[in-house]
Amino acid sequence: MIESYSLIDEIEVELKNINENENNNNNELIEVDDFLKRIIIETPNTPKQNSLKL
Amino acid sequence: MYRPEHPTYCSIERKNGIHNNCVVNNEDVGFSVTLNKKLAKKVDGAISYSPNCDGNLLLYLLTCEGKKSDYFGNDGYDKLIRCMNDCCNSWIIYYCKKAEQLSKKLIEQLKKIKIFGLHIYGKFVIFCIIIYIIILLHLLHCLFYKGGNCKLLIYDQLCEGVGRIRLANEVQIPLKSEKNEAPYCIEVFWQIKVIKAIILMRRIN
Repeated sequence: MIESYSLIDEIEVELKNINENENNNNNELIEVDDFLKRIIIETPNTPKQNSLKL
Repeated sequence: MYRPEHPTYCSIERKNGIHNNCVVNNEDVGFSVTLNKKLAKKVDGAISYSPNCDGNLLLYLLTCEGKKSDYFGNDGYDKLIRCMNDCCNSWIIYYCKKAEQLSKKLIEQLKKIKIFGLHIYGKFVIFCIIIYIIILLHLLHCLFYKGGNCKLLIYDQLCEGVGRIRLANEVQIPLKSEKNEAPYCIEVFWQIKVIKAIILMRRIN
């Protein structure tokens, strides 16, 4: 049973803070477009099945 | 899942025609990021997460792909990895779209998102024993053993724009000949390994 997924909670709290301009300095904020351009992965890195190690 | 204490809705889905691998397409992104339009693909099972404010949206934490034990193709693995990639992108895009701007703290949190995948496939082992006989004939003896393998994979972001697949756990599933279908493997998983997967997922995060 999933009781909590703490990372999601943390992300949602941070989102709320950003959108309410709490605890954030505008100089530290990054545009969404710029971030998505960098972060989105088009082609997955797919190592061969047998190459994965524990 | 059943009676989650978390205020959002979590569910286990099996192959029933309603499971799509992600919600990403060009229109959703809306930026200059180029993404091929994703088509809905069924996987054999999934654990999804629906945020409170978007009850109809499914973000996937774990997807499962299983094949018969006598199926030797590798397309199930490739499909699973691509699905995990799409699911990871879906999480990031969803939360980015909800923010007007991104803080460094939020970016670090987004990079911590991990997607789990379970790959169930047949195991095909060949033992080749070369027996040298007196008259110098070589006898190749092949012994075939069929069983099931179950691998729990983790997909995360090694750095910006680079995904990483890691193997979190691997178990053997002994299969009976009359029940060597993927659904049987998956049933075994749901009954036994999903608990470990969830525990692992919580521990990592």
